[in-house]
Amino acid sequence: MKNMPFTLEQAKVGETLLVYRITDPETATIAMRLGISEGESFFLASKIPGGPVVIRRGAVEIALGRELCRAIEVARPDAA
Amino acid sequence: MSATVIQDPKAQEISPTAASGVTPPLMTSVVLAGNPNVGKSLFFNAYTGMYVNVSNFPGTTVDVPKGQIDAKTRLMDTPGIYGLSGMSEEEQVAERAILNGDVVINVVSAISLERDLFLTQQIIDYGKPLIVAVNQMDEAKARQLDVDLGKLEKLLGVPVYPTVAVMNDGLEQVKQGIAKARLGHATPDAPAPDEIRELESNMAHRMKIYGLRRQYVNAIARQVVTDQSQPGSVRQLVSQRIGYALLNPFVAFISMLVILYALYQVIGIWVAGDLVSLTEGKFMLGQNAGAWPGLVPLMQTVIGKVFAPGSFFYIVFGGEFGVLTMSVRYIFGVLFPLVLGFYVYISILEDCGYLPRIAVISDGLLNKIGLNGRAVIPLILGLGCVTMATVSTRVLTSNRERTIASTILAITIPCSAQLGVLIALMAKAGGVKAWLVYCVVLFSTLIILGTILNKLLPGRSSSLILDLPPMRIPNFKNIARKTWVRTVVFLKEAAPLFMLGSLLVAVLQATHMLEAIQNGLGPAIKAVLHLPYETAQVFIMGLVRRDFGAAGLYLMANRLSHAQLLTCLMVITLFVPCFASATVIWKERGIKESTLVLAGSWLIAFGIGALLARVMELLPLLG
Repeated sequence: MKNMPFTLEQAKVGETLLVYRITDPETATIAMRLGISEGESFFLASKIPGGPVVIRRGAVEIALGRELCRAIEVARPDAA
Repeated sequence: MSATVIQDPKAQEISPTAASGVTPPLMTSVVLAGNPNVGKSLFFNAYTGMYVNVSNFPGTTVDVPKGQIDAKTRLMDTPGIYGLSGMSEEEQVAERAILNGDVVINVVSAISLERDLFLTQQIIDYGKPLIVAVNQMDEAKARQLDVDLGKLEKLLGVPVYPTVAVMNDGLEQVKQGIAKARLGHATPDAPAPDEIRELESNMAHRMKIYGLRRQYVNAIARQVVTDQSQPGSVRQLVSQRIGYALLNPFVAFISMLVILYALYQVIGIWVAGDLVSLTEGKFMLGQNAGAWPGLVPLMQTVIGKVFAPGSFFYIVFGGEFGVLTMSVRYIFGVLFPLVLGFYVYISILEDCGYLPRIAVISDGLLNKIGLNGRAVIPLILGLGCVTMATVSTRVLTSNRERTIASTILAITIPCSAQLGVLIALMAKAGGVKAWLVYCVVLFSTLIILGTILNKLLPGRSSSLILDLPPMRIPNFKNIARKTWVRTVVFLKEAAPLFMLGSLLVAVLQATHMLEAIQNGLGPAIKAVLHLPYETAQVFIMGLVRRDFGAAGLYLMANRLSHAQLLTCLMVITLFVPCFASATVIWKERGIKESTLVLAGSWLIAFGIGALLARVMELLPLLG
């Protein structure tokens, strides 16, 4: 069975992930400007306990608050 | 405003002299635009020198530096932004500046081209003539990122210049290139420039246009950048390692302790102590200054010639709290060195990339009180001067966050003047045990207050989105510029308010109201806080200036019990901030909110003080 998409909040550090869908338009606006749009991949660099998630795409590192991570659905590349 | 208007949507040079038959505009206004941390301010510094005029963008609280490139070219810097979507006040300011300018210099970073080109393409889609400076070419080279600038120029349809701004490389070419600015190739299928802004304000259209633009830009980036995927230089690896280490909660905690201790040493001891004793003691008051009588006594002599000493007007203008004497002494003798020192410190932390990481680490905690990681900056600044910190709450995204942050600052964050008093007197209140009780009570108050505000205020706070710049050795010029701009902006804002506050206090003193208030407050303080009458003076003088009340407290300290002294210090901390910060809160937050904050601080200060006094009477914690 294929891997189902899950929210960025549930992802693990060290994974390379694909953006599956961004459920909230406000979050999608922010994400698209930063280069995170559907189908693009990124690396999950760090997760602060109870805090933001740090993702890396090329040389760009962005910290995203937990609230935003809940609106970003991701999938592992083999699921796409 | 300039008359340079580009009618032809096809690429056309907009040299001021190019359009034949049209009178060249008197001034070309050039706007610098780009993502945060791409080195935009280095361009501004290089082009304008030190002659910079920083003012609020009309109708906003965002500071925009302006300068002249030459006699016919104005340059305006804008806040670093990722796109023109009006998501914050800074973004709205940048958007208006870009739309009103004649030419845009768009600075992008060679190492984050894909991200940065979104803004570039949006400016192109909006129909603004621009040139693009691809900065940090050295970094890209070190990372084995090959950027094909010729291809980028062709795809965007605008002139593209390579730069290494820190080394001053390529800046001259960019400056010469301003005259070659042109309209670029718009995103295929995107609406025309005259209707795109309107459409982008609608969420459904915006999603569609942004999607098109992002796809288009990613395609450009893929064609232009060849990633040899090398791990980068040793320097970059070290920088990355340090960056990640600082995101480890344990390392972050230790580093925070070190930073705060260094802050105490630099600001608390050197600046607030040594430097201020020079500026305020020696220069203003003439203490240990040999033949120099001090500026304040000199002014008093002059004022004494106009108004008889002791008369109403003498007290108002030249007395202890006089408008001319007190505010000059305070603004230039105390605030200026303190604020300057604090801003140097903060600018270094910011420029080296440390501050954004602390913001990330503290985000989870701050979320609980309705703030996000960005609020650490005002909260740390508050330890220096609450007035300065209140002004800096403007960096927060929403009004709701600004309300929460400024309330917390006003009530629970002790400024450097208060910390000085605390450090001097805690030893007499039981030392370490007293500090411990103090910190627990203050921290709980902060959390409870923040949680209540977060529950009560309508709406919800914005989530953190923060670009983490690489850790690096701070750039001296950047720090000097930032510090200077911030200090000047702050003093411009605060000086008139300090004068207003001192006028108020001076009038109260001249009419003997100050004494009357102190006498009236005495019995209430005895009943509520179980403290002697004289402590009323400590609280009232604390309103004038946080460390003023302390003098009386030093004399009284030996007659108070440990518990009483601690109660007194607790109340001083929570009690209304000094008049200067009260006026700033009033100016920033409006009359209704500031009245609530001030009333709340009285209630909280006396409520917690009363509780603490009684608990300590029952449980003799401090012996």
